This record gives sequence, C-alpha cells and structure tokens, in this order.
Amino acid sequence: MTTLTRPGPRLATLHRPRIRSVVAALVLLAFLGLTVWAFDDLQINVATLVDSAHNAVDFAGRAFPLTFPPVSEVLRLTGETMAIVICGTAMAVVISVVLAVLAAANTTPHPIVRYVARAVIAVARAIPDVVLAALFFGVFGFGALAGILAMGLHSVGMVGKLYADAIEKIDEGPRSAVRAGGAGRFQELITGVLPQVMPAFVATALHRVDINLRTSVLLGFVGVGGLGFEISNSLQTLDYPTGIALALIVLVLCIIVELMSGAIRRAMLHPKTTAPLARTSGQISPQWTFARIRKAFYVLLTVAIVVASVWGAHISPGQVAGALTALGRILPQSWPPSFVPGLFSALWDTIKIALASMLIGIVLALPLGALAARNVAPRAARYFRVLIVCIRGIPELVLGIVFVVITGLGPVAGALALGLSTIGFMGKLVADSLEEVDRDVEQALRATGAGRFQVFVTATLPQAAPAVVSHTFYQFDENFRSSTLLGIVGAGGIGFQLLEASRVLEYDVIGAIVVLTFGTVMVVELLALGIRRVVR
Amino acid sequence: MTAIRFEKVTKHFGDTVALDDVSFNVDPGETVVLLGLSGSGKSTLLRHVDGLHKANAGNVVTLDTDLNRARGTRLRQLRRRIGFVFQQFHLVGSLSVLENVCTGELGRLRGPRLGLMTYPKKVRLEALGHLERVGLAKKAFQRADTLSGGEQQRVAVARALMQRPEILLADEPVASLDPESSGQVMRLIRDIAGEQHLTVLCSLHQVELALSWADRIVGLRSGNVVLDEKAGNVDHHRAATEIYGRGALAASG
Repeated sequence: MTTLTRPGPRLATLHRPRIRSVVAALVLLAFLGLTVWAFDDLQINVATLVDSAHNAVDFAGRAFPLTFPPVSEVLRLTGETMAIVICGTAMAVVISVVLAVLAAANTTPHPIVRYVARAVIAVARAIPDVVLAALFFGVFGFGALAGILAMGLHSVGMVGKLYADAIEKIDEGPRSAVRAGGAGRFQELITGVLPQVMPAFVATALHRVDINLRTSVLLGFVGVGGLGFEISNSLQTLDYPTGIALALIVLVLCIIVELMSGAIRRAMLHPKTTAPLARTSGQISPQWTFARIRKAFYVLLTVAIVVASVWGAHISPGQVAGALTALGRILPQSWPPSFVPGLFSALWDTIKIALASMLIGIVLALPLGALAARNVAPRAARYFRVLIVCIRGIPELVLGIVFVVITGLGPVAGALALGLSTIGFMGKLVADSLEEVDRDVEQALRATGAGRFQVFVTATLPQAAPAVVSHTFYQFDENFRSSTLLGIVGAGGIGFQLLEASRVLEYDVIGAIVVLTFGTVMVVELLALGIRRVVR
Repeated sequence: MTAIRFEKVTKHFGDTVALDDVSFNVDPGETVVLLGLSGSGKSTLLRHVDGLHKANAGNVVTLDTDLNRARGTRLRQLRRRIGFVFQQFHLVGSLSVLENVCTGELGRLRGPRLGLMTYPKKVRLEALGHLERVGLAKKAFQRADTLSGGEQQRVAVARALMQRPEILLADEPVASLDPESSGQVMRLIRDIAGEQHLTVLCSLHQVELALSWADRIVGLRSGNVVLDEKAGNVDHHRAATEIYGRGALAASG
C-alpha cells in the first residue's frame, strides 16, 4: 500500500472544463461586460443624479398641490380602463385555451400542429402590446378596440404558454380512466383535464389582469382610452398637478386590483377544508353550503364583470368586423418594412436601457432577495418580502413619469425606472429560488461547523444559481419589452420612434419596428435557451 | 364464444419488449388473474383489451370486436362495455364523489359535462345506487381526494359499474392499499362480478391472494405466458418459481 502524502505533479486537482461550459461562461461574461458598458455609456452615476436633484425640486413645485378631477370623472376613467383590461384578458384567455390544447404535448392532435401552436404563442410573446396598439390605433381610431386587441393578442404569449405547461403537467390517470369509459375526445378534455388545470388557469388569468392593468395605462399614450390617455394629455399640456394626481390613482388602482385578485385566487384555489358533507338518504343534489354559494357567487361575478366590460367598452360585432377589414387594408402597407435612419440606433438605445436596468435591478435584487429568503435570513425575511411586494406594486409608468421629470427626457430616466421595477420582480424570483433549494444539503454543511455565510455560498447559492440565471434572461426579455414601452413616455429608444411613426401613420416604419423587436426578443430567447442547457 | 381473445400479441416500447407472442382466451363469466412481477407486461396486456394500447403484431378480440381495426366511434362503443379499475384509482380529485361515478356514463351521453348538475337526474340517481352498493352513498358530495385510498378504489368500482359493463378489467386494484382495504375491495369486486355475471380480468402480484380469488391463473414473465391453469390445479410453490424465478423460492425459504 502506498501512502499518498500529496498529489503528484500529474494528478490534476482541477477538472478540465468542457467546451460547452466555456462557451456559456464567455457568453455570460460578454453579457455582463455589455451591461456594465451600457450602464457607463448612459452616464448613470451619482453626479447625474445630483445634477437632477434641482429638477426634482423644481418639478415638485409645479406639480403640487395636486388637482384631482371630480369623483365621477375618476370613476368613469377607471371604469373605461378596467373594461379594456378585462376584455383584453378575457380575449387572451379564450384564445389561449384553444392554443394551449393544441400546443400541449399530451392533448395536441398532431406534432406539427403542436409546433405551429407553440410558434404562434412565441410570436405573440415577442411583439410588445404597445407595438401592436400603435399598429391597430391607426386602423380603428381612438377608443377601446385597438387596446383590447393589442393586449389580448400579446397576452396570449404568456397565458397560452403557461396554460400549455399546466396541461402538460396533469396526472394522466383520471384522463385515461375517462377514456377507458368510452368518452369522446372533447368529453375527455372537459372531465379528465379541465378540473386538474382549472386552478392554474384561474391563477394565470388573474395574474395577467394585474399585468394588463399596468400596460393599459401605458397604452393610453398611443391613444387607447382611459386613465393612461388622460395622463398623457395632462403631461403634454404640462398640466402636472392633474397628471401626477391621475398617476397616483393608477397606483392605488393597481394595489386594489392586486389585493382583490389575490383574495379571489385564494378563495377559489384553497378552499378552507370544511366539515365533510354528509349526505342524508333521499338527497340527490348537494346542499347549498356557504362555501358552495360563495364559489357560485364568484363564478357569476366573473361572468357579470366580463359581460359588463364588453358592454362598457362599446364593442359591437359590426365594429370588430369593420376593424378586421381595415386591418387587412393596413397590413400590406406595413410591408415591406422601411428601416429609416435612426431606427437601429434607437433599437440600440432600447437595448442599452434594458441592460442598464438589469444591472441596477440585479445588483440590488440579489442582496434584497437573499434577505427575503427564509432559509438565508430567518428573522428579517418577512420584512424584506413586504418591501419587495411594495416595490412590485408601483407601475412602471408611474416610475417612468417620475424619472422623466427628474432626470429629463432620455434613456437615463428609462433605465432608472426599469431598474427600480426590476428590483421588485427579480427580488421575488431570487428569494423564491433560494427558498426552493434542498435544505438537507445546508444542514449537512452546518453539521460540519460551517458558518452561516459559508453555508450560503457553498450550499444555497450553487443550488439556486441555475434558476437565478434563467430568471435573469427571462427578466432581460421583459425589460427589453418594457423599455420599448417606456420610450413612449419619453425615455427614448425605439418606443419613441414607434410613437412618432404611429402619429404620422407610417405603417412601414411600424412594420420595421415589429421586425426589429421581434428579432431581438428571439435572439435573447435562443441565447437563454442555450445557456439554460449548460447551466443546470 | 369467448369474451377476450389474445392471439400472438406482441408489443414493444422502443427496444423494450413488453409482450412477446401472448395467446390465451378468457371465457364469458370467468374470473382470470394475471400474475407477474412489476414490468412483466400485466398492465400492458390489460390495456390492449380496450385499445388503450395497440399491439405491434397479433390480434386482440374483445366482445367480438377486433381491436386492430376498431377506432373512433366503434372503439368508444366497445369501451363503454368494459369497466376499468386502476391501481392508482384515477379519480378526478377536485370533483365530487358522485360526479366521478357519473363520468362512467359519459360514453352514453352526448357532449361534454361540466359540473354535477349537468348530468341528467336519472344518471345521478343511478350513480347514487352504485355508491350505495359499494357502501359510500353517505360521502357522495365530498371531493374525491378527501377519501381514503380504499374508499377511492370503491368509488372507482362504482364508476366502472356505472358503465353497466360486461367485462371488468382491474390493474393491480389493491397494490396501493392496506391489507384491510385490500380485502374489502377484492371481496366487493368478486361479489359484484358474481351478481352481474361479469367477465373479470385482473392483474395481481400476490400468489396467495390470486389462488384464493380466481377461477384461473395466467402467469406472465418478461412478456411471456409461463403459466395458464385452473386456480385449483395450481401448486403454490411451482407457480412462484415459474413466475418469480428461482430466487423467489430461496427467499421465501
């Protein structure tokens, strides 16, 4: 037996890296380098912020005291905004259910159909709703329809994907039991699949209502009616007291809707376990218990709200038909796309905004998220969670307006506004990923006497890293789309070009913008896919 | 006339051969147990009876229907006449017990059904009758996933009865249950089969239970039939050796 005192010169103590991981690491490094460069290039630094401080004071002087419109007016605007949001989401849900059934591996009639459906969903995701709205706006004129269609079609990108994923995750057992009983395909879907995916469907739809409420306000800037339209008008006429007052109303509305959808979600998905319903002999239908009445009430309420929204948005079948023919007339005009000068540099600005906001967001979200994870900071976690929820609650639009006013028009405002909202989203994802790691590994390390920070670095972080990296790419996707949106309130970039083009009805330019944003999102998604394969 | 006929049935999944030239018949009213280890092809064979799987070679003929040819409406019409009880019950957990039983009627109803009240009253009454039979009428309005495993399997039996089946297939119906519930479920299936003159094809892995329960035993091992005899003629030790291999004898002493 030989005694091994120290490894010989030929005994490698580090394994040779695989080419795939090297490439992935290089891509990640390049991404990081680009991000830092973008941050620097936009000249986001303390000096800029200090310079802007007097702007803020100046602005405050002009904005306060706020002037709130009369209550009836506020209610009318809120109703209009909500009607658009609900109609758009309802439309997305209807389309998504059909697409998801076609796109899920276990319910699709044919693999080719599946790929087509998946592609349609991906395309819907890649074209920002504001771009669609700008395109439709010239077609349908002012009013609700352009906004509803834009929102409804773009939302399919998220809702359809999540629905298809939910269908793919079901337990096939009940479904094969229904099939074994001789049920047809449609019966099988309704009885074997739908009850299982219902909770996920409802949760996703409600979540989308929250998101769409935020974008609907931005859509106001390209001409979609409601609160956003009024904010846009006020700001353009330099009526800051009214504009900021309305933005404040949006903030409150977002919080109310988020609270309500949370309550509905909980009531529908986690019914409190009531005492078992014993059946007395002779009874052939269940008794109307409180839980059952409440559930029926929610279902009826949902139907009533959707109906009221369709009515409230003044949509008639004739109008929709007219819009569709108009669309058929307009679409040819947007092709071939015309890549006017300045478009590429505007796209580049938008990408820079997205990158810089990522840097701000992640640098702050990592510590914040870690502190909000129960297994990392057991005592403080609760408070940091609340903080994250509060940051998430503020719509990007409100942040955008505030920063545009403080730092002036331009990309810096966009990057700061997006950065702040990124903290809210990434913070939650980081905290969730950290909490989902295997606790036993942490415990094993703690048992060896490792300190809390050592445990975090050695056991918790490596386990959560793949999820955090893939969330980061997803977030970049989101930020790219959002920075397009923010261009519209004056944060520069391609959104600004979009606004200009939609004002003068240059459909070929809008077409070019569609192509550019779509291409960028697809490149990012492919990169993310490649990286995720390696970082696992 | 035979109820189920397997003729040289071969089935493979990729490179794995699940069934290799399996042939035997099941007569009407007969209770046949398929014995074998997990992975021996029992479940695969059962799923061929009502066309949930299709054979790569050979024929399966159930109630005079050739499964190689049956598709669409004809296949569904056949499935209506065959009840299927699964190892994992396969109830829709978020629906009520009664609604789960009613789903057994779907094959005869037109269109999809969403919610218990969309089933005709006649159907609901019949479903309640079947629940009465399996002793669970009291729990008709509970969510199915609030029931214990044994109760869920009895609901699954009631669902199969709802089809007014001629054949009852059972795939390891008690493998996930405790001994007491197992006994209840097995007795229930045997009693009902006797009352309604059902043909039963049931897979199990316990030799003892199979011998006390079946008319006939068919043993499967790696997709081959290694035993096919009347239960009364089967020698316990020989059956164990044939089906489980030599190791089983050594292990059981």
